Amino acid sequence: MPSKKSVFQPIALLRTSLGSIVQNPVILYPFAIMAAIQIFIIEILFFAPRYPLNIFFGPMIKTMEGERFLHYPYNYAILNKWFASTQMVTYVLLNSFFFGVAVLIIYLLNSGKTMRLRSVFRQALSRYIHLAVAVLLPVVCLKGFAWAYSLVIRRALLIRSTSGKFFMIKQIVLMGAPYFNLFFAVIISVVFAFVVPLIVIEKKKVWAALIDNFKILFSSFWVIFTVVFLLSLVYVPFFMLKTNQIIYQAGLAPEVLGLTIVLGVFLTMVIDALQLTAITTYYLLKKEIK
Amino acid sequence: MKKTLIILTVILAGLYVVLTVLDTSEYRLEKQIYRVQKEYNRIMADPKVVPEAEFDNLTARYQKLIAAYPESEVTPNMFLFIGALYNARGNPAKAIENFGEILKRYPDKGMLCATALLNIANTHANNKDEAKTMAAFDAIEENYADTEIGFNLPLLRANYYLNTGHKARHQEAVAKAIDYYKKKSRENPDSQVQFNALRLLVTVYYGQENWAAAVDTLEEILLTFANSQLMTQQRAALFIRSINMVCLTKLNDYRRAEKVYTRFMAEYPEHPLNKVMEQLLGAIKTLKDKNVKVTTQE
Repeated sequence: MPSKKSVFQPIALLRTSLGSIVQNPVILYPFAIMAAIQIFIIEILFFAPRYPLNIFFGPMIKTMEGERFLHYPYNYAILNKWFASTQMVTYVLLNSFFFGVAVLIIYLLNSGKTMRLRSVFRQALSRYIHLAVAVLLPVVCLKGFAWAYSLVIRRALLIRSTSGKFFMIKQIVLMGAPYFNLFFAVIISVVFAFVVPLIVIEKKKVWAALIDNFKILFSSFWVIFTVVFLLSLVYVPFFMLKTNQIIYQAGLAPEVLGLTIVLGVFLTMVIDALQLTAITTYYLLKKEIK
Repeated sequence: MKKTLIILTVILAGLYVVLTVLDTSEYRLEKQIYRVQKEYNRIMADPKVVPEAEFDNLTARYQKLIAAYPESEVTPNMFLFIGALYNARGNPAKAIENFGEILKRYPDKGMLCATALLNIANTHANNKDEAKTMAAFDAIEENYADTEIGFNLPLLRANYYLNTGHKARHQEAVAKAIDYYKKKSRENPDSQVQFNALRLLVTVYYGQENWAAAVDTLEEILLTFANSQLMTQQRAALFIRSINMVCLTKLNDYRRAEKVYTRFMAEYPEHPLNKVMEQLLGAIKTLKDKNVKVTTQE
């Protein structure tokens, strides 16, 4: 068991979090439910162009995307695109609640109190509005960044150079888009890291939680940043797979794209679980030391 | 907790099974066709280096799909692919036999039958059998004149004579094509038929290198269909580009292009294309002032 001081080191914090999850798989429970909901959405979208779901989805797909997307292999493009567009809604409306549940579970495990899942769910539900707003804030920030970056891309596209400094800037802006997005997502996650634990554990309202979050963050920015950044690196191969369209270029079966989406759900589940456990553990230790 | 997770897994697996069982669409066929078509494209990219066994294997895969899904919408096309495969391996008789299957099995599908007949005509043309090529063309004219291929037929005949070096017959076929498309245009004012007839007329004039007539026809299309749904942005851009290209590089006549754009703007003062035309008029004026002669790169 690492000492409390060493846990404040990012790697030790991650190791402790992993250990907690292995010893207490109940932490994964809310994340497993989130994954199940995501898989359910994937299934619906996968079968959307086919009978009987095409009775409802068929006209929508035809109008919004075109006739060919009702057929193989273009149905996978729809699956990818439409699933991505459902993510924000499920993240704010559902994940916010389950993040609250997860934080409560970690808190109860740490404090050695008896845990009844039904009561945990009820407690998280009572904080739902605050949780949803807390999760919505980083989403809005991320959307704002994406919009600002799209302006930069538009400007970069006006660069006509095919070599030299300006060409390099253009290439960095265009090719680096997903990585800049990922980096900014890391920063945003760090900036709002303690909001959910404060809402659930301290029963704070969202604005009060936000202020206290910044106070805690002031002394722990780099630890949390390193943890979130290291975990986000796991996403990079997935980004490369999607943005560079390796799947299409390598002539792989379209099913690989479907498989990537499903694997992405499980990967997100594990990373989110690790991240939230690490942040909550860190918060609880800081609180204990105080 | 375990119980809930098991229930969730069962629900998701059950949903997958139920939706798979209920699915009566041709998804499985589409998947198989996708794989067969990938193989087809690979073979057709360089058929000369492909061993006979691979041709046989692919043909057999198509035939298996035809047998398994005889009623599918996509099945008739498989005969076209088999025919093309036989053509690629130098067996025109078997190619024609497969194209002919479409005529036997799907006589009510006009466009499909016309496509099959066109493939038969092309196969005979490749074997320099003029009589049979013409017979196939005649069959299209007689039975499927109202299809897109039927509409293109006068142009196809002219092209055939051009490619086989029959100058006199080519001229005769071109004259007939011009009459045919002019007649169709007159008989079907403000319709898609007129639009298509005029476009094909431009193609015929291009073939004849009758640039003045081509510009006249392009002008007619622009003016007649300016506010039609048929005049999409891409099409309008194409027509304008064509007028520029022909006037500046073939006719060396800036004024002709100027006349078209000025007339268009006068007849349609509120048209969204006017901005583009104003820019073009400005560019033409600059070229004229600098006395620039535009040529095409050979």
